[in-house]
Amino acid sequence: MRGKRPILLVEDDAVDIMTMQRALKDLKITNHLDITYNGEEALELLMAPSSEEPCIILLDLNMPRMNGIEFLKIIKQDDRFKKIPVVVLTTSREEQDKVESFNLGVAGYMIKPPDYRQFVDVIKTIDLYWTISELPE
Amino acid sequence: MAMKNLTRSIVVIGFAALFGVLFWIIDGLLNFYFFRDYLRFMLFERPETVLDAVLLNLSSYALFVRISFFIACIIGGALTAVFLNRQKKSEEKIIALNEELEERVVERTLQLEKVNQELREFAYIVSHDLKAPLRAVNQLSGWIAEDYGECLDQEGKKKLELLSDRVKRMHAMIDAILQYSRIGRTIEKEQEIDVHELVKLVIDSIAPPDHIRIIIEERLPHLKTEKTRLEHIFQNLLDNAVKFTEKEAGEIRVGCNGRGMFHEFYVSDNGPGIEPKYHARIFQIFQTLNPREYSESTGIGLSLVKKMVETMGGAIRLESEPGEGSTFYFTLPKGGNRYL
Repeated sequence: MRGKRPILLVEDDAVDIMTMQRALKDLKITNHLDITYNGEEALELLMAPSSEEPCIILLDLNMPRMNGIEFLKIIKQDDRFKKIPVVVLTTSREEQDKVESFNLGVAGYMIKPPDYRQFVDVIKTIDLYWTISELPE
Repeated sequence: MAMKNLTRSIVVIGFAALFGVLFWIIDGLLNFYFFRDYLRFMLFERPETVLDAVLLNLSSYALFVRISFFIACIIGGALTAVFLNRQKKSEEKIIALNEELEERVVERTLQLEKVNQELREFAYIVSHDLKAPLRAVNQLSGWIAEDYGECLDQEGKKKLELLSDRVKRMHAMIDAILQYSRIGRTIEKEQEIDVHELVKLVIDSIAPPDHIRIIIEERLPHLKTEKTRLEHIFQNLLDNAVKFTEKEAGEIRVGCNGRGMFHEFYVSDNGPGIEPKYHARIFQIFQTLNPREYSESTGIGLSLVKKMVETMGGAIRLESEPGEGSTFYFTLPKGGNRYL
């Protein structure tokens, strides 16, 4: 990813987290991966004064306590966070979820592929795009 | 209720009175000639007394007949009123019954829609919630093979392979359930289709191996129907025919017979055939006649075909004996699907 800022992963499934870590390692993406397990934790991390602002947020939708859509509603209303690109990574093919996500200004919506190789390709594409694309400081 | 009885009596009396008046008019007309004679007599011939005139009247006209006719008219009027009232009541009853029926249809439709909605959600839950852990199992087993492959002996590797194989099968089955549940829910627009061209394209896409010939026996008809589904039906039946025909010279025949309001298409092969006791079973979901190890199929194909044919307003059947090949017949209505 562009720069050395961390990637924020909001994901509750341990295996999906492992998948992401593995994919980043396989792709030699060196940005630090901040892991939070639901929307609430992700918000706490963003608000914490000590934490560095992430260059991108990878967001699962279906999570306990605060789901992805609720999380999006909050950060997109906050001037500090609304410019951070959010890419939804989910298993949900529901039109409703896609519409809501894009209405809330997500930068992309990816369905988690069942196969690890395909997952790596998805992350590779995201990395490539967000390496080329400029980000506001 | 009392109010209703009152209005009913008024109606009956009114009708009776109306018929009474009607009687007087007819009576008067009938007696026109008599009155004329009577007046002439009163004015110009001058009877001695009034009694003479009355007697004359009585004798010249059968008062009794007139009075009974009058009474008959009144009773007739009343009866007509009662009859009309009855008829109206039974009409009201029919309307009420119809309304009740309509209400019930609405109610049942709502129930059905609810069940449908639940089914849709169920399908979604199946796809989402069952697939997620399955994906995890798949990935974990893949990583174990990748990271610890060297530590595993032949036996261990084989077991991991089997594990991954089963996961893939389960994935395919979940997808199949979703596909099956989708058939009834999605409606495709009907269009005029040249079935002949469609079958030719399907045969091209299957690309049968050299030892199998697929013959279209006659010019297949044009038909108004759902294109993708019909394609799917031929694709499945032809795929099966190709898959199960192991002979040196396999021959698959496609054709069509008219059957009244229906076209009956058939796909016939000279493969191994199917014992009659299995005929019903092969149309059930997830039923295959070969052990799963030897076939790639989930056993969804024919159950999909059956459901599709049925939602298109037709029926499917199989004629087959071991060693005699198999012929699948399916009908489709000539005039398109009337249920949708």
